[in-house]
Amino acid sequence: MRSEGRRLIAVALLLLYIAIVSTVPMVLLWVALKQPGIDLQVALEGPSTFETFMRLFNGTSTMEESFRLALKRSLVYATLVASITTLLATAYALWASGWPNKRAISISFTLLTLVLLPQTYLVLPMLGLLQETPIQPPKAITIMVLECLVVLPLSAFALYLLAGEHARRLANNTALDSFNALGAAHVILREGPINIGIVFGSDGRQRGAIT
Amino acid sequence: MDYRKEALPKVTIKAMNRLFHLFGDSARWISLVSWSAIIVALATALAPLAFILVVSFSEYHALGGGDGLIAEWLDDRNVNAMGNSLAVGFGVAVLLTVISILAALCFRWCNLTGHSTIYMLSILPLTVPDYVFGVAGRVMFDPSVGLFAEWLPDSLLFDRTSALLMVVAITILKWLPLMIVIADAAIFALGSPIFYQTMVDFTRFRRAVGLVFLPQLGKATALIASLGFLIGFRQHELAYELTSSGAGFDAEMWSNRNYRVIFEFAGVARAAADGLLALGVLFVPIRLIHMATSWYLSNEE
Repeated sequence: MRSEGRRLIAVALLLLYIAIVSTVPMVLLWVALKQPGIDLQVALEGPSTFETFMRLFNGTSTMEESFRLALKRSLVYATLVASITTLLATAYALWASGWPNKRAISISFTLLTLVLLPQTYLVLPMLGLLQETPIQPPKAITIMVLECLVVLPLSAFALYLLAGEHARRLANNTALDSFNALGAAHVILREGPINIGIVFGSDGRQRGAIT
Repeated sequence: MDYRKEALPKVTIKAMNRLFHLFGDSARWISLVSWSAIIVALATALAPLAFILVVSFSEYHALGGGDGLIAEWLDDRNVNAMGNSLAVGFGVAVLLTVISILAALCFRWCNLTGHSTIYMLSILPLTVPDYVFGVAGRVMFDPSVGLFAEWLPDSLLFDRTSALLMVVAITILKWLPLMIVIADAAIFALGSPIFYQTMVDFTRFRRAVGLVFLPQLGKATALIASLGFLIGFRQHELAYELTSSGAGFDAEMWSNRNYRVIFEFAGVARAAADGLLALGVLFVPIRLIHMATSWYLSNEE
């Protein structure tokens, strides 16, 4: 009976979590579908109904095509940034897991603070400096590199702090099973930290949006 | 294989020796990737810091000398803006830390720790930009046209206290899932054997919280608090969208909004001076969190 009650509470808790997570997307969807005079109506050059909303995904006008292009670009950026930062941060977590706990956390925290503190104040100067350089890389590459830069230390620190001990245990176990370092990284990623890495990588896409 | 290079710190050599002992030559790529990550992180941190320092001190005559620099920092608008940003930063840090840790403990009690749905869904709010959260907050809580307008006081978003509280609330709405993931991951790192052991050892969940889970959450608490503070401090886009028609909560009322506006109007020296002051102020709470973490770890060891 007690475990039944706990299971019901677990379901209620998950539903509450889903409600918190989806509140703002749901509000935006509701506004797009029901409220007149919102930007979406202007963008679609007509009243906002479910059909006009769906046209965003299958329409042929310039506005609708550029919306789909922006969506695809965001997905590609998010996937690439999440993949690169997860790989780099996992290597760092594995590397730092052999350090004394206090030293590793101190160094990771310093890296995190060093990068996050001026981050609010870095994007404009960096973009300004980049625009003045003689070689102009493609904009997509610039954005992805900036996104990787801003999220990398955060991922590295967070992954070490949250998964460092686990990585150390798994590294010892996989070495006993005769895996090489790549095999060990694969096992470690499969066992959990990849979830955290992907979450922080997605945060990188969002942080990149401040550019 | 011994990994000996005199230039490297002792702890690094020790850690690399351990990795080489475990995996042989194939461990070399871990070292290469990790050093690249550290160099990138340092370059990312030091480049803007150097930019702000150089511009502030080499071009500060543009502000009328040292007196002008200090006058810039003591300007009422800058002081107000800094106060507002700090208030939101502290509010977000405290509330995010408490709520996310309570949520992670609730997930543990319900045996949901490490549930993949929690991690997968937490990405959703991160895909929505800050200013959109500000607009959505306005749609919900604007006292005249918001969805909940009839139940809200007329002064909401118009007086400073309620405006700051609403900015804190909407910021938490966005960042809570990520912080819950951090707290949950810290507990999840204990592993299944420890979970079963605590169930066997402690008949009351409260005792397991005090003796096992809260100590484990200590390190994550520092991470959540520092991230929460820095995230709260820079919510100028969300705050601006949420409170733009409130009682004077315009562009001058958020510290990093000032920086952006001044910079975009090509006042580079003034913007750098503003950024330098903010970095100095931000360093204090971050340093305190760092010291608290070090104290916690020294006790632990």
